[in-house]
Amino acid sequence: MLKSASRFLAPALTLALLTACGGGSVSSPGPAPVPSAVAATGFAYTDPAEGGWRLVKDPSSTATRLVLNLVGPVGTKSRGVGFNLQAPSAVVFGTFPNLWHAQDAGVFDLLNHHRPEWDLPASPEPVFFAAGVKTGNVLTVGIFQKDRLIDAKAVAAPVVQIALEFDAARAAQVKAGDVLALALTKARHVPEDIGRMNQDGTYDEGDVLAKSKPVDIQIGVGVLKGI
Amino acid sequence: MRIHVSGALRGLALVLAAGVLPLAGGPLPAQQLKALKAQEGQRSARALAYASQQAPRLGLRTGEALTARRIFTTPEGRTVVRLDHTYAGCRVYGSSSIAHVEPDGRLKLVTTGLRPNAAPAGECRLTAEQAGAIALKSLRLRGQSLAPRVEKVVFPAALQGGLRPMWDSAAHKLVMDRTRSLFSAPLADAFVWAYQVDVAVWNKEDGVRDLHFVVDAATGAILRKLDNLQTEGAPTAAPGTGKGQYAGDVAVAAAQAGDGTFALQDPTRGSLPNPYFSGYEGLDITGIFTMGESHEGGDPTDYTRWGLNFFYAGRAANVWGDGLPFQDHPHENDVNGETAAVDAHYGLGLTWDMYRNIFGREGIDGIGTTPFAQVHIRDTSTGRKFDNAFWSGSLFGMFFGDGTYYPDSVLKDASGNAIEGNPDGLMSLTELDVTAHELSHGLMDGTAALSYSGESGGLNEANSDIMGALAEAYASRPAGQDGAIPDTGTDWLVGAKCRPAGPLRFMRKPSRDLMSADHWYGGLDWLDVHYSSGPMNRCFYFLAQGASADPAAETYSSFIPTGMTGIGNDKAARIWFKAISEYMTSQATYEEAAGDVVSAAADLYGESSPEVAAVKKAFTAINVQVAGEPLLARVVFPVVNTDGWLGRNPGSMMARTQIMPMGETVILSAQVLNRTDQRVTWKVGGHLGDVNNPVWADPSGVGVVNADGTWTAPMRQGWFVMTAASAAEPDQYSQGMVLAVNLDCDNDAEQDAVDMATTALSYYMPYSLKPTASPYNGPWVEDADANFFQTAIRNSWGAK
Repeated sequence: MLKSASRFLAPALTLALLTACGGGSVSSPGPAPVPSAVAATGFAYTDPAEGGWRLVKDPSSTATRLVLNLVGPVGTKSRGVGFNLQAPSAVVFGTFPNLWHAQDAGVFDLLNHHRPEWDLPASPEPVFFAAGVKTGNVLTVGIFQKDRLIDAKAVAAPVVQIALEFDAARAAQVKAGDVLALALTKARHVPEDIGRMNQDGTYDEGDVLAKSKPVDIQIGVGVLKGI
Repeated sequence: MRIHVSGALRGLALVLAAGVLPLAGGPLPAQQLKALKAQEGQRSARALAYASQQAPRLGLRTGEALTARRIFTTPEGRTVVRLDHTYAGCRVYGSSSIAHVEPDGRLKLVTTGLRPNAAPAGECRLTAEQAGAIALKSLRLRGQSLAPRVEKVVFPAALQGGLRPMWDSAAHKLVMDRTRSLFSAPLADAFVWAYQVDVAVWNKEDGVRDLHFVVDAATGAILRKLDNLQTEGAPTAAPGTGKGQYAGDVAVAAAQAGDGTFALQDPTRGSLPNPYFSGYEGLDITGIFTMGESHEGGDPTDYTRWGLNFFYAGRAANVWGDGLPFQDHPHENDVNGETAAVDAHYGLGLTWDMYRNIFGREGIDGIGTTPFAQVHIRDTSTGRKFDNAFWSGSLFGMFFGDGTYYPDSVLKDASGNAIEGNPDGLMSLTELDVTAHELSHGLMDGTAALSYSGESGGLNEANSDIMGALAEAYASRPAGQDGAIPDTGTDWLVGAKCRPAGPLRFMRKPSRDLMSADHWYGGLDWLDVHYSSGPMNRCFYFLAQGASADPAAETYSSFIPTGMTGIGNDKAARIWFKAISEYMTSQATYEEAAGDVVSAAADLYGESSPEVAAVKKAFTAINVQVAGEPLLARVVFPVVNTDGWLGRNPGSMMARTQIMPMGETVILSAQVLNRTDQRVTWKVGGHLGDVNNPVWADPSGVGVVNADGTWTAPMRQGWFVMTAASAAEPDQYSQGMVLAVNLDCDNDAEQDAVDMATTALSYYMPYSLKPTASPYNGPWVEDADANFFQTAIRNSWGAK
């Protein structure tokens, strides 16, 4: 009956978006564009500096499909992370075999295993994992555990993947060497400590209420160029 | 799918050996019928063997079979064998066939309701006990239930339930009906292992409920949920007299006990004991009987049922009731309280006689099982008077409230005054057509067993309304003429006498209640079954009484502008009963029902008869496509996101449901089938059921339909009715539902996937601390919230 009309709406690359909504970061300025008359045929991506949350290039990337892994700081544990990434209209956010615009890398345990009354193994169920492209070519990604009894996970390994695809038609004005600014407009994660819950089911109400909140984070984004 | 398969004449020798000549048309002489009934076992065995032989042609594969569930022989000598479809010995839910063995031995299979190739995917990991526990747990019962009845079945994904809206009259908007909505992920496979769980609840804390679940045997997810409560020493026969509020002075079929006292029990109607009383109470009560609810006890709101029910018995005189409206507690068991019992008992007996004399059926299940009526029931949750009546298949009884029209003398307001009566409320719901209505739900359980939701639920309700009207007509028959239903005697209104403010339903013109539909349209199954019954009620009226050619008349239908002539109540009744008892299956749609009624009419009166033509015209008059008739225009929504929540079960209601973030702009899309003119006009909001009826228009705005064919939803949560009508034929339209959810659960003024963090944390929270960070304002957070995020994001921002 209905289909999204977002593709019909003009992309709104506003500066306001770049600075809105809590955490996030903007890609480093990078070198000045090198004037070139050669139309770009693909992308090159330079990883951001080590440390912290960041989007790094996956080895499976090609010139026309750049796969980026979200990794976290070494030693940090998390229960899930979400972010919004805005790209110029020349960049197409790609999909994965799951037909989402992101791929679960398998670090987080998304299922609710706590069903002692049923004594069932894990089974397919709705999970807090979703991704899509909003108006303005903003990729929004979220992946979160939902069971308090499941441990937080180390996030130094990739936790979620996204893909940036080169589309010749949409990138017709992009020249080799042009920088395509990526803007991380929002990023939050659910930390390991979300308030103490005891084995006997009791809990510290004040502690739980104080800590059961997502935390703003900065995600480093590298430099994307046409090649 | 409809395949009629004719059998070989191999069975003729059997029939001839029985001395029965093949006859066409009317009832057989009693001796011949008796001989055929004596052969029911052999005849059904032949039918079963034939069905098994035909299995490959029907699409049944290894492991699938057909097994006999219910057998009866019609007055015309046809033995009807209802066949369950099984896989590996387990019933395939909602899939069945019917075999007909004619008097001359010819065989026919009706396969409209068969869903072949049903090998289930996955494994059965739950036990029956676990499935029962899951169903009970989901009920959050406060009191006790009867032990659940659990059956392992194969479940078709096409019958999976989904979201249901309900009208909140206080808030004046559609809200989520949490008791009827399901949030389970759509099944990826066409058939899965499951358990059918039936739970009967009858206690003060939870009220009376008759619930039906299907639980996924692999995951424990609830796949389907229905409330089957379908609203609204050997004694000797001793005819008495009574005064009913509605029936007036009537003969009362009572009984005299060994001690000489009288009771409202009728040993002449019913030959098997009531199964509930014999199974759970250890009482063998055979012969229809009427009980009351006393409401005695120290706490005026303590309506604990057992021990407070009583039989209308022990009377020294066989004279019942005063003919006056019920005066309220404590008159339940005195002469005034007997009045409602007289009406109920009279209605029960008269309907029983109509089944017996017109349809040749012994009671509601055809084998004489005893039902009961209980009057003066109150709402067991609130203690208040009850504006409803209902049939419970599990209890094999029907229940009648006294309505809220009069003040409630039991419950007091803060000042100690009786609670004011409701001017729109009802009086005792024991009017004849209501009584027949409830009993006919039992008839339905024993025949087509139409599932109580969607189009089949509307047909189920219509059957009861139809039988109610016919019972009124039958009550007006001249003395000694028990074999026919007169054409007069009914007002074609449901509950006209018991509701002073106006009837509950209008069969001639159902939309007069501002809720019901007059004709079929895409999306009719969104309506409550008491309103989706409207088209079938109107269709039956047209068939029996005709339709006007005057556009100003309420019996005019724009789908047959020249009108039609009716065939009379008696013929229409016989055709309808034959259709529900011999052709219709549990998941029937209106279009399938039309085919079934045509088949029934052809059986009774011949393929080329005026009666068959009238049936076709009556269904055309309510916009139902009849096979062989000119194709009607149809407006359909394309299935979107075939990989997602909406598209997996394109036959289900979810195929016409869209979940999206509020305030988003989406493309409206619909197709017109069977016509070259594809122009469509759109309407957002309004009444489910009537594109032009503004009664449910939402005052807070329904967004904007843009010139470019898109719709911008308003920035608020809610259900929105989307109607697409053919521009060339505005009577042809389809309705879908959009649930706009608010993804901004972290209150940062932006809807995005990051919001899931806050919702997931709500899921984490101890129950008592859970904030309501739910995208649809749920009172707690659960898998449904994850579902809504995934669905809304995929639908609006997902891969195109």
